[in-house]
Amino acid sequence: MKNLFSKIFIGLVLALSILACKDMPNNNPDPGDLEYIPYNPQPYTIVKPSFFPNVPVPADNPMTMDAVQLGRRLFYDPLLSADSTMSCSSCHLPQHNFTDLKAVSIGIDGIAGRRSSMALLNIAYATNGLFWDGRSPSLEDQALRPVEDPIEMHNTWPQVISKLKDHPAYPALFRKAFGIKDRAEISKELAAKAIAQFERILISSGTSKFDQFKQGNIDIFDDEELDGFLMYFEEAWQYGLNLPDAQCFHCHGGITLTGNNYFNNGLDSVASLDDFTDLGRFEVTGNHSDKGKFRTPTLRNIALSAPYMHDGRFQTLEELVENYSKKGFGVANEDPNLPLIGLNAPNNTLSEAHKKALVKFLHTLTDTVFVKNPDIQNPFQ
Amino acid sequence: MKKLTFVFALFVLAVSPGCHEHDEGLTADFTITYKSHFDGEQLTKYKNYPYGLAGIPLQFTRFSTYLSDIELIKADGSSHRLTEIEYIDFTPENASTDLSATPAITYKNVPEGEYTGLRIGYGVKPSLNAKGPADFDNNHPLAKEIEYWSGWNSYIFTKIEGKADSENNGSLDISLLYHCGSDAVYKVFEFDLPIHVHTGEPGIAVNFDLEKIFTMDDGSYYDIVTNFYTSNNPNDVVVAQVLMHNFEKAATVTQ
Repeated sequence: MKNLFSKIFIGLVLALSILACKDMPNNNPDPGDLEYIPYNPQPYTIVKPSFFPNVPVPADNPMTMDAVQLGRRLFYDPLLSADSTMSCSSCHLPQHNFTDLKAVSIGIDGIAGRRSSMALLNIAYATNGLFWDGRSPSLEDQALRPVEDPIEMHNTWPQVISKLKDHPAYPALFRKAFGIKDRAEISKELAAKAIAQFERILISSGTSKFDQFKQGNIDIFDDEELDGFLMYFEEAWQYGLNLPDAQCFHCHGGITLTGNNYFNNGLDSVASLDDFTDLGRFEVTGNHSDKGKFRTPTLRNIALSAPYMHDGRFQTLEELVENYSKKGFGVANEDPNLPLIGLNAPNNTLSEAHKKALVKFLHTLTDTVFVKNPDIQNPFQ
Repeated sequence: MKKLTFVFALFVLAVSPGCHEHDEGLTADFTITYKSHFDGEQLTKYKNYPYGLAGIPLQFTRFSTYLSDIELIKADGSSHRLTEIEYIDFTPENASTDLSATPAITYKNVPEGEYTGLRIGYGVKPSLNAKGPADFDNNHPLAKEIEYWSGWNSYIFTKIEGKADSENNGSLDISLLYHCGSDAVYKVFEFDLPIHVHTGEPGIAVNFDLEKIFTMDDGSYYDIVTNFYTSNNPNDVVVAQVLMHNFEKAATVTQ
């Protein structure tokens, strides 16, 4: 009898062990389990307009076809979040210039974040810090953060890596992208490198109305759009026109229409810099005068990127331009360009017509070819 | 014997280091430290400085400049170019303090010896200013999109931004926005001073004093209340020319 119980007990233990093993990820595979898959990396040439600068690519993360495709898949895969409901693309939708139409993004637990989702268009050129406060130095570093942010994906990287290692497709994709020998080599660093490679291909098509104008098709603008352009870039003198300076290009200049610098752009009237609800850049530098400063976003595709500002306070471009026309509040660290908005206009003030022209010009920055580019869409659809 | 003595004397002359201004084949690292001041004091962003005879409060928020063809001048008039272009940002975005930055740049393989001066081009020299950011690799100083003004087809050579309290009543009512650019305002200046370049020797400091950039040749102060910004019309560079001219007085070189 005693012998029978012992046999039953041992049998149960064995059965349970087998069942348990069945559900366990295969995280400790045989060494070299992926080596049978060919590793033949093909360089990826980033497609960009000829008048755009070369895209910066870090030496330790060269662009390859397979790594870009892996990054694209990871970017759109909700596997990265704790409950597999949220991917990077949940807050960065291609049709909205890789923003999410929300004032502030909402994480998997329904908790609202502090800031609005930033556009990813031409993010490869942002080499002066990422996020609104610039806390991340590179795309590779940035890609690591949302996974473990408790108000975003609320996951852990060990958990994500465990899922990736046990996934039917990802180990082979990591092998093809990075030449790993076995799935044990899958790491958060490689996942972040792949996502960063995908983000580096999010480059303007160069076909917006603005781009066509800059390339010499000067008849493409109507009179209002041209006025807006001339005020934005302060080039009315070229046409002998008497238009005010809107001072936009000082912060939103260059081919990407952002200098990726940090400014207090006159949103809040505060008695002291300590009174800002969100201290912005200060949280990174610790410099008192950086309180209330935020990174300048690109204005390319701005019409698709509403709402606006770090906290999404403005719903429309009209609201946005109206606010700038007020020239700030005289707060100590406000950008000195703000009071000069409207310079050369009667009373140095932008008229309703001027504001309308600026909004019309901002619409010429829309790049529908980019947002419809099949190479950057969700591969799971 | 006389011949031997003569040959020996020639040999001694040939190998004697003291008789050579530039030691053949020897090179050294040479560092230039760039510093910014106001009235001799290290520049601090957002700090109120008394300006002009009335002592109105004046503060700065940005000071950056391009420098071209920085060259060490030799006694024979020839020169050794340290760099073709440099971008010096005294108020970088990533600073943890409002105290101005003091970027120190080390130039490699500089021929050792005694030099008689330094030459600096203020701004971007015309041959480079004819190009644009897309013409340069990403890490090149001239790849900075935000430092290029397409309307002028020119880099912004110098940015000086700040605010002033014109009424001296506690309100910074004047925004100062000086963005100087275009070939018309490019200047080259020379500084005569002995510069010793040897391994282990200190480098030099190039100092810019913003107060002197706003001080006219007759000693008066520039009227920043009337001329608080540079025109955006490249055919109207009056303010920019004044400031770029004053750069010479504002700069000192020390070793």
